[in-house]
Amino acid sequence: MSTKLLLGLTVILSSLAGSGLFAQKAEVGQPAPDFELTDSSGQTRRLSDYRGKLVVLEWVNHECPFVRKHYGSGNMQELQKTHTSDGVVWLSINTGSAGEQGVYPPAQVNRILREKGAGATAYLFDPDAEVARMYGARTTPHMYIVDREGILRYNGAIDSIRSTHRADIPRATNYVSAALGELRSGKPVSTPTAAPYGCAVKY
Amino acid sequence: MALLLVMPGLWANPVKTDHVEAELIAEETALVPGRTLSVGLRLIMEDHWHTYWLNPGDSGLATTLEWSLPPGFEAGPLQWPRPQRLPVDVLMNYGYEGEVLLISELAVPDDLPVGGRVTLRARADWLVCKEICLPGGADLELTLPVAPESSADPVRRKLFETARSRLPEPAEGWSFRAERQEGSWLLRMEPPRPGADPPPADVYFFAADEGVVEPSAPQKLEPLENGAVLRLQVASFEESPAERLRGVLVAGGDWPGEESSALWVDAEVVGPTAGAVASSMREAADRGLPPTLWAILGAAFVGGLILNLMPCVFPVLSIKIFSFVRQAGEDRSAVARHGWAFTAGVMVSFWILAGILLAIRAGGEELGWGYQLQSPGFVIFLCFVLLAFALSLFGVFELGGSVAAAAGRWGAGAGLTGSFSNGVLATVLATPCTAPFMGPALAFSLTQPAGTSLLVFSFLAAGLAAPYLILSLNPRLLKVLPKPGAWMETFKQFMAFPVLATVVWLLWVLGLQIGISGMVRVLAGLLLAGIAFWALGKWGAPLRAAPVRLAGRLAAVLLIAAGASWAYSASDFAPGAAGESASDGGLVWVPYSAEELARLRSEGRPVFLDFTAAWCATCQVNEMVVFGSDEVRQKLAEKEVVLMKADWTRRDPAITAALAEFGRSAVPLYVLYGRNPSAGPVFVKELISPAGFLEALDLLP
Repeated sequence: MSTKLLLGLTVILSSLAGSGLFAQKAEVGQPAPDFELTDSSGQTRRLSDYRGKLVVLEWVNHECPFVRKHYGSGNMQELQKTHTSDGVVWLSINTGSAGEQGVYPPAQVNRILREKGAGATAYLFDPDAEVARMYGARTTPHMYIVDREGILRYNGAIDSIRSTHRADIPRATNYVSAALGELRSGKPVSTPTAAPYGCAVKY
Repeated sequence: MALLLVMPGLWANPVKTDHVEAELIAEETALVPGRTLSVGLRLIMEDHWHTYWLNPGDSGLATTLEWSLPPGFEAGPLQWPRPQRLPVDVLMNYGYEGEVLLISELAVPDDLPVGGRVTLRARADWLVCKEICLPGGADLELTLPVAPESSADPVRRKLFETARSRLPEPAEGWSFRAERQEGSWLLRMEPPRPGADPPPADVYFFAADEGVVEPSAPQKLEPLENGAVLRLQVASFEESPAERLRGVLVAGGDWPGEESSALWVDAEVVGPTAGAVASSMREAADRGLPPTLWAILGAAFVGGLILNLMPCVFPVLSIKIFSFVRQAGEDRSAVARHGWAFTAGVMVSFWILAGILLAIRAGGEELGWGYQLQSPGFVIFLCFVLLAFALSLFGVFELGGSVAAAAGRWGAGAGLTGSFSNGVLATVLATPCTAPFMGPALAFSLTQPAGTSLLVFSFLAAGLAAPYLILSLNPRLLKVLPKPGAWMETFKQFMAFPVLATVVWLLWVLGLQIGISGMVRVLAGLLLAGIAFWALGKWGAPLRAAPVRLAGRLAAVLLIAAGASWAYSASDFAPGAAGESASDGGLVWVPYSAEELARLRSEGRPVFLDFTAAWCATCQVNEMVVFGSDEVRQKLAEKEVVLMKADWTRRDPAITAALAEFGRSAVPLYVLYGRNPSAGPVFVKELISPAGFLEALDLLP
């Protein structure tokens, strides 16, 4: 009897350990993986801090022409300001080690954000690409939305036209605004994923 | 060279942008009216900078070219040379480093006046990246004279030839098929000749469409006896499963029998319906979702229960009822033991069947449920067994000693072995009938590991045995049954008739399998067996003196042997005109053939595909009931539905394969196709009624 019990425990424990070792890639409909990152003002932020609120994750690299399309036109800033004033938490995440293209020290980041008039709640550094790996982030921009219960509800492109042309923004469907609107009114998200477009994330 | 210097205005200068030099070039020196000229977009990238292919991969954007041409000109689509893999950390891009020429065939109008010059314009847009990405673009133009003849520009021609040599070629000998299996695409490749050289090393598939194959996932090549299969991961951001797998298949060296190392693949994803049916169940099963497994087990149990009512099992019910009637007189624990023995008989028979099916599946053969009755030898054997049974019920001979056991040993339920054999017999007779729930349960179970298959079969067995087990365990219910008496003898004799009815049915099956002459031979054999049993009864009874008994038994054995061998000699007989169209009271049935079906479908003819077998009683009843109805016949004629019969009586491998494509391994199966050639098939439920069938016909696309 005790051998069986031991065997059973071993199986259970090893499978638990295994699942911890290989961090799950975020999947729509599943709980969004929790993480802890430092922002550009030195503060530590955890995803779980925002349970009870809608959270938007925006992978960013200000040297990428696709990100510049949305910041240069003012589109991204407008999205950030509109939604944060509605109580949404907007986290911009920059993956990449110091010195890599598009990765700036905090002071420079804050200056850039001020210059561009960005309205995100925080700009987080992901130097080891740990969070990028957890979420399977591919491009900049790559957008994720987490609902109030911590479940991932959107994973994908910011909008429907894959280009670097600013003129395409008003013609495109913005998946983030659409999903946030549906989540706010308690409806299911009609487009939960869309293949993201942009520059490759710097792992 | 000097010529080029003398005529500078004829060539547009390349446009220099950040990290990319772009130009429009032509292979020849002039435009000839009515002819095609190869032109192209040439991009020269700075070292380590790359532009993208048709499908850029995880990130990036494909290069685009938009022409502004004078009227009458037409430019063909861009021809993309084979791409390179450009890994970016954990991500994968597809594109070009160095330089690339994207060729387009330009059709020059016939009526273009000779002697003038024409300027071709195009807007090229691209994304060029190293670590950062820069969107780029250029307005390009190319001016050429219009002349009656043109000659090749040696420098440019070389560029075109190099680019052409890097274009993927459609395969000449190799053939490709695509399949979907849970989270993978399977790209099957077959060499020109069976057993020919395997694919070269380092095979990689560049999917041309985005959102189909995951670019960063490794691709696994599994060699097969004939060719190989490349396993590709389905894209994370797949929107809906693609119907075609298109792209470039490259290898480390030239493909044997082909002239290129890059082949253009455009494979249709086969078996969408069957794939969807079978693989969705496999998917659900592999996810190990307990609810799905329990649903299947539940369905198997109910299926087993319903099997008791099926035409081929029902006659055996008579035997079972009789045995329980007898046991009503015995003590409770004995009765319970009989019930368990019966259940054991059923269970063990199902396990043996499952074991056989699994063993055969492991051996790679395609077989389905009820296959036993596809073999004439087995049917003949059953006829003999049932004849013996019926004769013993009549009282022609006794298979045992005591009067109490005079019910006839074989399956009539005397003793635990009798109950056990009862169970076995019930299973044997049940196999050819497919209850509505059995089809999917079996299709599912045969795709599962052995343990799960056995579990499903066990539940099926439990369903079949359940009513009798309950009866045997519950003495109160037994009180409902009448007390033993003289009526039992009459009842016993009468019960021989349903058994003989089953023999009649089996003979009909035989007739279809081995023809009339064969059937008569079997009948003659059965006659001999009849004499044998009579002899056994007359002279082999225990009441007789030993030598007489011995003589009687010997005579019986000889007669049975003679009869059996004569009957078996007929098992190889070919049936009559089974392959031709059979006319059945005004309805014309066309025999099944895959080509004929495809032809009818492409013509937009509605088709009713009836998978049936002579030994499948459910099928026969359905056909009689539904096609006997005048309303149905009328509607079929009205809608000009072609009736196609896939007769599985003799285990036709083509029909087994066709069944498998629909995710089934048993008959009956009824499939309706409407007029629309691209609409999928409609499955009509197994137990169909005229009303249900009419409804299905009305709803036909």
